[in-house]
Amino acid sequence: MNFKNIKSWISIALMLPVLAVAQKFNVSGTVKDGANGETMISAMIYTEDGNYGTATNAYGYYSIELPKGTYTLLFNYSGFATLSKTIIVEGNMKLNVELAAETEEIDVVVVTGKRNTDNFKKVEMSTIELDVKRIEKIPALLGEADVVKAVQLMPGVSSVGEGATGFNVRGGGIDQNLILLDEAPVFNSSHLFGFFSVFNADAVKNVKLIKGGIPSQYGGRLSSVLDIRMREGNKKKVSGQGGVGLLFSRFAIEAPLVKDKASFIIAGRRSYADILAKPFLADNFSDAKFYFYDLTAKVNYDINEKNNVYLSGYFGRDVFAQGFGFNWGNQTATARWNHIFNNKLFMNMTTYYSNYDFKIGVGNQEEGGFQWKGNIKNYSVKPSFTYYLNNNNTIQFGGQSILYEFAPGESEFYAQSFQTGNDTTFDFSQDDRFGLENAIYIGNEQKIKKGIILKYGLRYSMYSYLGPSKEYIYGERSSITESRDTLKVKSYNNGEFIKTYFNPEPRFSAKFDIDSVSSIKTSYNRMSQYIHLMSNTAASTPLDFYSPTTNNVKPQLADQIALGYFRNFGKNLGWETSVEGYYKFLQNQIGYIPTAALQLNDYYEGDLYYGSGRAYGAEFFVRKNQGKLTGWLSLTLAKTEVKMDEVNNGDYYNNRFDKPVVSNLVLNYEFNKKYEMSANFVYNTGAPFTSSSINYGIQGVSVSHNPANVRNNARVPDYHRLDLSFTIHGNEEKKNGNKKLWHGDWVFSAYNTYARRNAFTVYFENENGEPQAIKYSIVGTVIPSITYNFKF
Amino acid sequence: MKKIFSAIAIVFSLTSCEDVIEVEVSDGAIQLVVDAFVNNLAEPQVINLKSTKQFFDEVVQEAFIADSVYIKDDLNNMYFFEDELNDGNYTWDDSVLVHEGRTYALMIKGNGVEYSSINFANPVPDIDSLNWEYSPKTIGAENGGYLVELVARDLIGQADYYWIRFKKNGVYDTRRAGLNLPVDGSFSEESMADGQLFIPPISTFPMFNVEDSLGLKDTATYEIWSLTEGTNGFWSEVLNQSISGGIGALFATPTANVKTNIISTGTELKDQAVGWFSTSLVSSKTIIIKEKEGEKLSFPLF
Repeated sequence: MNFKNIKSWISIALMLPVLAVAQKFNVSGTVKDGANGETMISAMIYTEDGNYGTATNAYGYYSIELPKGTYTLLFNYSGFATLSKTIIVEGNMKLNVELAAETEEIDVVVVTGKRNTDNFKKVEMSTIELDVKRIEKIPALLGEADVVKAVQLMPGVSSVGEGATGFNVRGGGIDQNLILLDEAPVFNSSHLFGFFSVFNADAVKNVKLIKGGIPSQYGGRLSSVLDIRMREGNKKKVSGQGGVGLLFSRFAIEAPLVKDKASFIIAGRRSYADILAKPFLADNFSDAKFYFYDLTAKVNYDINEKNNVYLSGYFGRDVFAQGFGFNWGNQTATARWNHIFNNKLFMNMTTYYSNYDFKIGVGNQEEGGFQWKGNIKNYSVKPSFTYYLNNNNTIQFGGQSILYEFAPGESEFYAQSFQTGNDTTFDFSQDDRFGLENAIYIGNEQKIKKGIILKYGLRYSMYSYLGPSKEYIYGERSSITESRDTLKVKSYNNGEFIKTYFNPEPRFSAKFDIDSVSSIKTSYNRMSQYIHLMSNTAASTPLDFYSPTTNNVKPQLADQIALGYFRNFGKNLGWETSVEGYYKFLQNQIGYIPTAALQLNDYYEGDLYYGSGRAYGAEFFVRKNQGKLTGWLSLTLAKTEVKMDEVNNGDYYNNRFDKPVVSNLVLNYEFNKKYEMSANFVYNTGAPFTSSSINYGIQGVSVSHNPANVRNNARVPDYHRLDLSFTIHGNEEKKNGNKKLWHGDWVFSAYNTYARRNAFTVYFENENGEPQAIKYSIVGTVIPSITYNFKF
Repeated sequence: MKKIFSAIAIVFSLTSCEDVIEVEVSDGAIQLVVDAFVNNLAEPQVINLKSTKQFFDEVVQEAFIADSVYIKDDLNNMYFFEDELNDGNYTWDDSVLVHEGRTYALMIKGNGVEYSSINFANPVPDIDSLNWEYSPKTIGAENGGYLVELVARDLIGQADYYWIRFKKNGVYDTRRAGLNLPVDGSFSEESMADGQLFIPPISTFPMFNVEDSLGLKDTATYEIWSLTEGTNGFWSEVLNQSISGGIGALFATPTANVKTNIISTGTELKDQAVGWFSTSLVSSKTIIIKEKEGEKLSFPLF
């Protein structure tokens, strides 16, 4: 297909869809897992001849239009036996189905009907979808399956290193990922400084990472959407699962409240490294506490065929204490209502509350000390509608309103007054700030003809910096490394609009089939972001706060174009390959003066630089989905840079998370039903860091200097690591073939198998007046572990 | 914050490690370094002019050859500095240079650029005496050794900025961590220490950090240099360049440049200068450590 053809198809697509002539009826319903009643996300539904097809939405709902007649409908979901239903379509009809997990026998029978075509058939590009079964097969640190760690093995995703909170997508910052847990945003996705994610795999159903071609229903972050959906809980019977590991244990229980209608799941984790480490600690640290825990819970109720409600919540915390107290964590609560107006119109109404907070303190008012706490809270309402206009057009529209409360620092310092000698409380608090973000969107997924799908939409976002925040007005800097002078501070009343921004955000993606096994996809999206993580350290700390967009801090904007080639090979098309290229241009990026005082400083905006950014790269991906040996190889070649007038003579310079080469190899081999082995190998370029470039002595004291105010001008050594794991599965069935009430798996793993000392950062010491670079590795040894996982 | 890092460090202590590595850094612009700390002592006054060097180059800084170097005071006295050995050490040794209450201007001409700077000579209190006492091995002083305390009283009125310098056997302690910069003999102007005796640990500060501790027969010298507020700011910025290693490096911000009071007529980066011009009055006291009875430290040992 040449470019001219593509252009003409785009112009056709932009015309209003032409309604079909033949009389058609609508078949709709939900697709569920027969074993536990969980709805299935992105299950494929298609007629045997392949002429009609659709997929379920995030709530397991589908709607397909068929002309009068008899059809064999196939329902297909990875890891499940394909279900075939013959239906006679004479009018609109409901068809709810339940799929059964595939067993080896079924695999042989249905092999002809089952093809792995998702990858190149869907219009989505730059999108990774993982179910928990797949995540559990990847060797993980201390044998604990981890959602975010699994995502980090995919092309286009990287992290600064061990000990770094969060992850980076296509050269974006950790705050540029919209991380949604049942639609509520999570601000800090890491436990224990990035070693584990806050998501408990036992409670997770589906994980989807969107890096490009982001649909119009998502907004608010520049780089990616990580959409995590929690399981609803077993609607058929009481069941549970858990694990006992070296660092933490997990337990989850789920059960029907009303059989087939209502159920719940509660999943919890608690680490106990501090208890295990106690005997090895010096006396003065014996009262040290460091642990994390989280609790994930969800209840759902199918009121009737047309109405479902869901309540879900997450509560997690990391605690470090030793004479002082330091803890932080996220809390989210989501309430959702699914309503089916008719066969064609589906609504989901979400309302959520999300909070991230930290507390740090030592001592008290009597003995002296300090307390410091901060949080970011937000409240949102998000109605979204799906209108299945016909088989060729699925329209999504809706809106969202988010109220943000930023309390970056409430701090008190207790000490004796020098003047009076009395106990006095000194207040160092930073003022609270407020913001209101609104958006409306509409988008359509349109099949132009067989093999060509377009998805286009527009999101229109509006943001207001809201009273009672204050407006700070700054003058010029005396030099490029100095704070701006504060000229004026203006107070506003509750609810007053201080500054408002509008951003239209067009979204577009297209897929063109080349033949029956390959396609080309392209996409463009503009994203805007109104909240910004303030972080000037090598690794983000739990104390880093989010700044709202204000009169000074402008909304960050990103334009991304991407082009990809997708092709499946082999028996049942079990080999999936893709190549994608992208280019991003970013506006209103934030930098910091070298002495930036970001914490407990109302005037922090005077310490910021603003500039633009660019990121580009190519991502190669090969995945084998079937057979005894499965796995993937991903390779990302990328560059991400920023440009600020004050830094590096105004030229582009590396972003802190610029990693030119990132590659991952993930392999899993199933010897038989009992034994399984996995390996992953990670290689990537070392992350950049800032080094002084000049050195001089004054009165014999060595001084470091950076004449051009350069950043990220040096790199830590390359990062590579091999992890291995071996799993022994317990028998799920008794000798008589009945299911066992309880079965367990043993997972043996070795993280960093060859004990590579990967550097996280480099610092400098003076050795006889000469600077010396010292790399600091957080993990410098192999970490072996044993975990026992069970299910009942 | 340090305590927090150490507690966090426990978590990683079983797995973490540190190694010296080679780092490639692109070259920075080479500039003039002015090291001009002149005082009222009756000894040769040296202004050291060198070029900066690349960060990891283990070479000595090259001498900067100036056309002329002189200081002029507010009574129009001129002090011409000469570099007879062409090693960048420009020297004046005809008379006492710095006098209390005078303003001094430094002028340097070289490479077609003029560099200038101004500073003021503040008064300095006398050191009354030095006390010393043997301190057994403890945390932070693994070898044990003698602690030496200076006894001096802050000058009354105004905020007084001092630089306490310590010499062991005539050699200055030049580690950044050894920079001892009291205000009014205490930590800050807010301490309300005006006119009081210098407080511990400021009065003994360098001793907490000397790795090769003081023993019998060692000589110990304390000097108090009077500074201006700007010079105090300069040294504070040097001090801030110390980055804690270990887990603390995770939460370190990029090293900030240290300010300079050398003004250049050149506009290009290579014609700018770094460094500092300071005029101080200095008081000094030296002892030879010997076993003694009586006068010990003014505060109890740990």
